[in-house]
Amino acid sequence: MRITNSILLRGYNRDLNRLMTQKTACERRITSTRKFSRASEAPLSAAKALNVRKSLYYTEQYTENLKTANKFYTEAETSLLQVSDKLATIRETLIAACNTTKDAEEYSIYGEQLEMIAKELVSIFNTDSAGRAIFGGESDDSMPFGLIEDSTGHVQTVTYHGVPVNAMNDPNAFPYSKPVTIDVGLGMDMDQKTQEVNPQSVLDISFNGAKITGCGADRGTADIDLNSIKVDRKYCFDVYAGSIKKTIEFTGKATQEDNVAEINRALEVAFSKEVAYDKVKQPTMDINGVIYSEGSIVNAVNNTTKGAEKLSIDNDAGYTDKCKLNFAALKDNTEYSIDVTVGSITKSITFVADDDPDPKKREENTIDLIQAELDKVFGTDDDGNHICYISKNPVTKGCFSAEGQVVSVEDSMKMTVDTEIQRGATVTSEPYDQIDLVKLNAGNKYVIKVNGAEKTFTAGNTTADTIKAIEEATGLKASGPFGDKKSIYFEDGDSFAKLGEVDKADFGVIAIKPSSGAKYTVDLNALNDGQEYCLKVVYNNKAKIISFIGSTDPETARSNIQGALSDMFGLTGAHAKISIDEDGVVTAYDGNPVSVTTVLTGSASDPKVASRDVIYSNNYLQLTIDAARALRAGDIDYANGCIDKIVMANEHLLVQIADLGCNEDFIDFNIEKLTTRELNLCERQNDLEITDAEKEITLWKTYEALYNACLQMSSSVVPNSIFNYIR
Amino acid sequence: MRATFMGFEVQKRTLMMAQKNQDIVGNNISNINTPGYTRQRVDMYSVYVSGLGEARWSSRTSMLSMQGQGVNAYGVSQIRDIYIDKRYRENVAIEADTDKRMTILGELEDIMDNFETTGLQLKTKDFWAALQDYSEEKPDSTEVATIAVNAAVNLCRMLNDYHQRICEVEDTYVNELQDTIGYINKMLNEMTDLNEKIEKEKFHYADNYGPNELYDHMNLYIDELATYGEIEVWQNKNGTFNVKMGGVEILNGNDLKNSQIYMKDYSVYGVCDLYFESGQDVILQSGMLKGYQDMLNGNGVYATGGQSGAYGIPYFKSAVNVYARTLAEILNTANGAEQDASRTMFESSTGDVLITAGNIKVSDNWREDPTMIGKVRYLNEKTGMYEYGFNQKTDTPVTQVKYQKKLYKTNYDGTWILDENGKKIEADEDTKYAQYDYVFDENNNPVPVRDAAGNLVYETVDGTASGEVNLQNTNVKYLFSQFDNKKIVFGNAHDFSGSFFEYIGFISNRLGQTIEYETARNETAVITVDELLDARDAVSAPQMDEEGINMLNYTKWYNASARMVTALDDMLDKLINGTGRVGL
Repeated sequence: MRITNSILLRGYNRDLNRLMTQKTACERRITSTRKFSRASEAPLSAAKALNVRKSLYYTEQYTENLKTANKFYTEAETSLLQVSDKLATIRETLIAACNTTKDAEEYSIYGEQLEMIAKELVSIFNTDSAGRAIFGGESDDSMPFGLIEDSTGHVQTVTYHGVPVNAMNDPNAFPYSKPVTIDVGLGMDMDQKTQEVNPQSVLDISFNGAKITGCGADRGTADIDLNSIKVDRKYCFDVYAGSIKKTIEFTGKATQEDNVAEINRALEVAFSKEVAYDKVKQPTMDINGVIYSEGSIVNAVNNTTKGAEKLSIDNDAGYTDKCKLNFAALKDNTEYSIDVTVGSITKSITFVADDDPDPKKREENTIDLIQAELDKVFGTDDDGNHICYISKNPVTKGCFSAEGQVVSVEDSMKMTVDTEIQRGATVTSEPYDQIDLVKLNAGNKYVIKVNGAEKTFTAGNTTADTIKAIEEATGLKASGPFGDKKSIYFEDGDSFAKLGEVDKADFGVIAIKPSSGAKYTVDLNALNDGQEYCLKVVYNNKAKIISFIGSTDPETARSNIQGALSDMFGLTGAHAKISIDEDGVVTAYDGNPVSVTTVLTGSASDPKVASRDVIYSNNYLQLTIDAARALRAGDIDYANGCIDKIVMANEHLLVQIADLGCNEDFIDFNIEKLTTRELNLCERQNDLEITDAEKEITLWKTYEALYNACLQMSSSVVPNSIFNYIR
Repeated sequence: MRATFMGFEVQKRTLMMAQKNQDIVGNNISNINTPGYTRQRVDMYSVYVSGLGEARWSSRTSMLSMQGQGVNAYGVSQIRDIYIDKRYRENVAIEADTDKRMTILGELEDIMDNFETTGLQLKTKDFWAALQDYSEEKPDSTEVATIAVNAAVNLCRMLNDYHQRICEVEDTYVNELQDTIGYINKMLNEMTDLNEKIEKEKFHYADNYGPNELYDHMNLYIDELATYGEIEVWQNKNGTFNVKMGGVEILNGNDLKNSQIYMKDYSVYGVCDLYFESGQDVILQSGMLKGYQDMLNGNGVYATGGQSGAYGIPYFKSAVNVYARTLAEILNTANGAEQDASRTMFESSTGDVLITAGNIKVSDNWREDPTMIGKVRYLNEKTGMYEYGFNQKTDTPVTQVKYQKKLYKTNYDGTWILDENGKKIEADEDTKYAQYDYVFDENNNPVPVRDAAGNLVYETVDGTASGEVNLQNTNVKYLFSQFDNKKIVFGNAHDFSGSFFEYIGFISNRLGQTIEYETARNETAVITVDELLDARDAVSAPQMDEEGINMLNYTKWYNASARMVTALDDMLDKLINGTGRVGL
């Protein structure tokens, strides 16, 4: 090949230029610290680098998210550890209470203590972290847990987001129960249509309070006080049945029967769909105002949003003040006697257990017998409603109740007397003055004479309001209503207040139903010679048992009884405080009411025929409240039963704390994993993107040396030619 | 009989030849650095006088007297290899083509860089991370929600900026192309002028010779023309040149004409549509024009009309548009904008239906209410539609007494028509304007419906909506989960389907790889062109030593010839002055 000057020069230029380009590129890599500035310089590395960067972004974000979650978990754990301490305190308090002398005042103090602890627990569960309640589920409500107090100011019901904790067994049926989750890089799996997240793929940062504290109960019914329903007033209440909430609105009717029918019609419409789909059995109200649904808990709460009047509702899903007939303890054709106390009136009734081979029929027949006996001693009101009622509905079968009154039932001591005497021994009476609330108009002012003093009050919109107004005006405690479903009477110390009507201008006329003055009579002609009898005498709200020897001679019998009465109640001057006349009528010297009932004596080993209906709440806050209520009511058995439940709750809680610990470990593990991952990714990014300085500097030096060498060559690029040598 | 002075004549020619050769050596040396100069040589031949012609001084019987006529030359020719020229021009076209592509794509890469400067990936990540952060906060916390909006605004601005800068690049190269075409056309005119000159000059030359310098000039033009597109070149008998570009004759030396290149108005047609004066389209395989065409028309899978499947400015513009549009569509849909336009997250700033990178912006609704996306989606069972709110509205049905309702006449605007007593007028199903309302009794109480037994009838009606959710973050999670959706179809299923981040990588890779490919082609072409230049120079460029040797040779030759004249002169002197002077 002919090598021409142009070839040499071009080649030199080209090479010099190439070296310069390479040197500059090398310099750029060194100064920018980057292996490449543009994807085109290293497409494969660039593609990898973008992936690594994306992974790095995700890793950083997920680490941050986990740290956020960790905060919640730590706080939740701290709270639950406090709760565990409190549960231990509750247990100790309960044990102390159960081992104390059976003194009502002491029980009450323990009750107060428990209530206080329960309130503290509620405040722990209302803890918020960075402005959000940890145990409030999805809700931003700073107080997910609430307390409903009864008229005495004692806590009665614990609510979670407004729903009684006992109302539903399914914690997820409570409002705000869906978890709030965050993406922590577990491959969040979200349904594109429903937005439902696979819980395994995310991390919860919320806790369902109902789930943590427990919810529901074995069973439950809502007992609406039919006496609190007034004609033509609007009522609205939420019914929870089998975790389904329905709101019912109705207008009060004149009779209990109509109200029950009205509510049942509404219930049927309200739950028609759910019943049709077998989600719940039709909730029904029985004639005594108890709403029940077989197999499901029923609870009811007033719905205040509709501006309706409040009903008096007692949800029997935790502690209940109801007594129940123990069908299992009944033997066919055996006679039983029970003391039934309605309000402050105690009556003994005797019945013979039925012997029908069909257990259901047997139970129903027995209930019918008892109801007949109850009606005999307590009677019925003007509308023919039972005063004392034993439930026939399948859920609360055998429970005793009276509208607006607490009914307690105890086995009578068995006495081998013939039933005729017992039945003849007592009569019902109404030994106190009563106010007829139905006749009071809302907003009107009334004057009432109490034990001679005039008191003024204003009738409220509801019965409860009116009662409260009267209580405030008189300083007395209302009892009742009893007998007439819409009337009340007042306790005044050991006795009852004497009420009187006052007719004054500008004031409404108050209707006082005066004491009937009926007396208890012992049938002196029906006693056997030489046989020992027991009588329970209640005076000034204190029951005492007297025993005497019967006689066919009425006078002997009377004097025996009088002797026993005098022994028991003492004398006032020369006269007995309680005396019995020759007709068998028992009276007190001061005219205060006295009730007399016969008492049967029997073996203590026999199973009790009547006992408290025991239901325990699954929620330990409610359980603590219930234990407090039971203690105040002197129901030590119930309180005792709570101890085990609290122990179980604590065990469950420890599991939850362990769960939280596991989750925290999981978070720590993941943070660690992500940190390692981040380091690895950074390293990979460095490998991919960051200049290998040693290599590049060496390279640069090489290029520089080459370039300089090239430049040195420049003078001889154009070679000597023949012209340099010819002359 | 030999002519007495024939020798002189021969040496005169020889001297002249030596001088001419020396001239050409000089010319070669002079032009050793002249661009486009082709080394020349004197095409010499040994003179032969034919015996067949009329030779007055010759003997018919013998050609002896006419022998030894010395040297002469046909002319001065150039030393070129047309095959090297052809290959050079082919490769220079590829070089120019790829170089143009590299330059343009490089500018796009500068714009769409993800590495040295903040790019689409980082802005998209910022948006994603802001959504993640928002998911951990209360949905109604405006501060955190605003961060998410701002991240989205920044993302939109980056897309707007991408679009604007890509358009600027497009404009720049449309203008550059127009200038280039003008330059080519001017060059074609100059080449035609040159052809004319050549034709005139050629007239004075022998068949195979012509105006070398003009040819060099023309070759320079042709070399340059070759960079714009692949050409075929041939020389006419009259010395002029014909050139075809992309199979179409653009220079004709016989007719002394050329075919100019025109471009349709880009702003009107939106494509780079080049055509020759003759009406034919400019269809090229290589060259700078091809580079321009592909870069201005290459729209990949999105090509329509006059566009091509190359990955040029329109393709990357489309790719960015598709990203903007897909982002808007996916997130708008995820946020429920299909059902409720007020839930649109991204919208067009120009009012166009189609969202592009140029017009994408964060919706006014979202900007005004940053927490809009924090509202939770729930199904309104009554309407079957999704609705949004911080509080999931659940209608707790209320079971209440059913009241009688009747159809009453209304005005067209829905107000009641009343009779003279101020009472509503009953209507039937056929009444045009009518509405149901409760029936009221004389005490203005609604009249309940009763069954056959006279009992009240109950019905379940919708209750007042109550809040159920406050802290739920499902919608925000749903929004950022879109970034993990690996099945998003971007623009055209044949182009790409994957996630947003993958698409960003995809565009970056496609651009990077396209540039890398063009760079590789360009490097090859540059090397080939360099080699061919060397090869051409090896043939055509003067070589100093060679010329020096020639110079020495021609000098000696001249000296020899001059000595020959002296010898002939001596001989003639002897004959003329020495002959017949015996004894003088």
